[in-house]
Amino acid sequence: MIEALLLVTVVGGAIFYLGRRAWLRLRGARGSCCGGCPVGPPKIGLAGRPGRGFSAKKMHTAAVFLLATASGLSVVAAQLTPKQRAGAERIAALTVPSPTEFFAAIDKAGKPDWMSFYREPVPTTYSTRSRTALNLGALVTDGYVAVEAQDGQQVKNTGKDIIALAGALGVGADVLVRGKSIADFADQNDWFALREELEATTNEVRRGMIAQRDEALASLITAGAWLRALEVGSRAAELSGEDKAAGLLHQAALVGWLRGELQLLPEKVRSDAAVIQTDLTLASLEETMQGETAAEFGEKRVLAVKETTAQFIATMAAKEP
Amino acid sequence: MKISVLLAFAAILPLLSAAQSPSPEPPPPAIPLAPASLRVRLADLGTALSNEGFKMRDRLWSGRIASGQPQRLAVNLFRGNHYWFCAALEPVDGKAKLTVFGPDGLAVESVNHQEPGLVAAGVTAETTGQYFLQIETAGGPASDFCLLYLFK
Repeated sequence: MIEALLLVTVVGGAIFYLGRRAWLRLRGARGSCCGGCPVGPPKIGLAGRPGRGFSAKKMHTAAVFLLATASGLSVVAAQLTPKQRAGAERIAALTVPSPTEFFAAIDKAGKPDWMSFYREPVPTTYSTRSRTALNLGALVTDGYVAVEAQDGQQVKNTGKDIIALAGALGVGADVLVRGKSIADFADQNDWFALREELEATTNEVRRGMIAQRDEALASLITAGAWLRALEVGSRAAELSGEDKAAGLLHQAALVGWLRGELQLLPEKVRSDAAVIQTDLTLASLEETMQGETAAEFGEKRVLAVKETTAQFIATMAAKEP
Repeated sequence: MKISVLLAFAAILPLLSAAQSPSPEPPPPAIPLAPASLRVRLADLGTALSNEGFKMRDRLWSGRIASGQPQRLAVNLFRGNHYWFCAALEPVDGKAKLTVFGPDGLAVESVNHQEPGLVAAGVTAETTGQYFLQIETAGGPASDFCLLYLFK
């Protein structure tokens, strides 16, 4: 039935288009649609706005509409099975979004005061490598917050702390050059480059950890970064009160995957107090996010995410006796 | 007698080798890099999109597609953000189709771009959640691919 309706729509659209084209030709209208008009591929770089790459003339719009309908047909027919979705590849550096991607969406939902998300400087020495890794991840997210706030000095301060923690993990030399670049870009107020540099620094540290066969620490860096991003995001959603901002916290699949990564770690690593705490926090968040669509992610859940993540980040960053 | 001894030895041999102290494990494999030619072509496209305000993710996704063997990658997208996924192909005359599927598994509407050796899909996320990229051959021989992820 649906296919028949779609077929009628397309055929009808085609008849309308051809008929109008013939009528315009007969009428001697400005010959933009006499068959010579270039309906090329959309202009690259204008995502989600297929019309901007084309002429604004009405007939072009009709042609674009027709093309869009035709491509829509193939889109409706395509569907992945749950097995295919479960079997999709997952790569930490791509499957886990960059915090700046999350912050870009938050910024669109309601411009927050990014400086209000700063926290007190955190210690740069911890008794265990797992806590160091978690705090390194959280600090990287602090770097993104400072970039959103366009605060060069704060970016530089955070960059120094990131290098200090990377040094404590034995990969300081790998990211020393990155630290210099971060300072240079901050001096130049090049926020665009800073976002890319922060992600590159995180991946450099992760690669260093994996090269040292310390995949556990790489997973903890990712978890720390994301938990701090959720803390900032939930606070922003709370302050804005917008449903759109709250819906951005609906990340059950992502949180579930982060948790799954921890469960893959060797038993000895999983018994580490910081890893247990991280797993419990992720489990609590997964439960909070479960079974709700993004549109139904209400105030109560926003507060639950904020409290869970804020408590975890504060506990991990607390100065040890 | 000799035969039975030999048989017994043959049966024990695998157990003996398994019981040997483990040799040092080889270092973990380095993250495979996509062919340089693919990365160069993507870098050109990435630069063009950066001029439009898109930010590039630091990592590429690469692999090989053959007829009937699509490759899929899970990504987490945020409502309201614009995304471009661009794949370069080797050989250059290889044809591929890039489809973006939403959290419900249904394909989402995308702006598609295709030119020899290059395929791209642009989407605006309508909802926050896990999406899936699928790259498959659109006829022709197997191809190596390398995919760049950009957002705005």
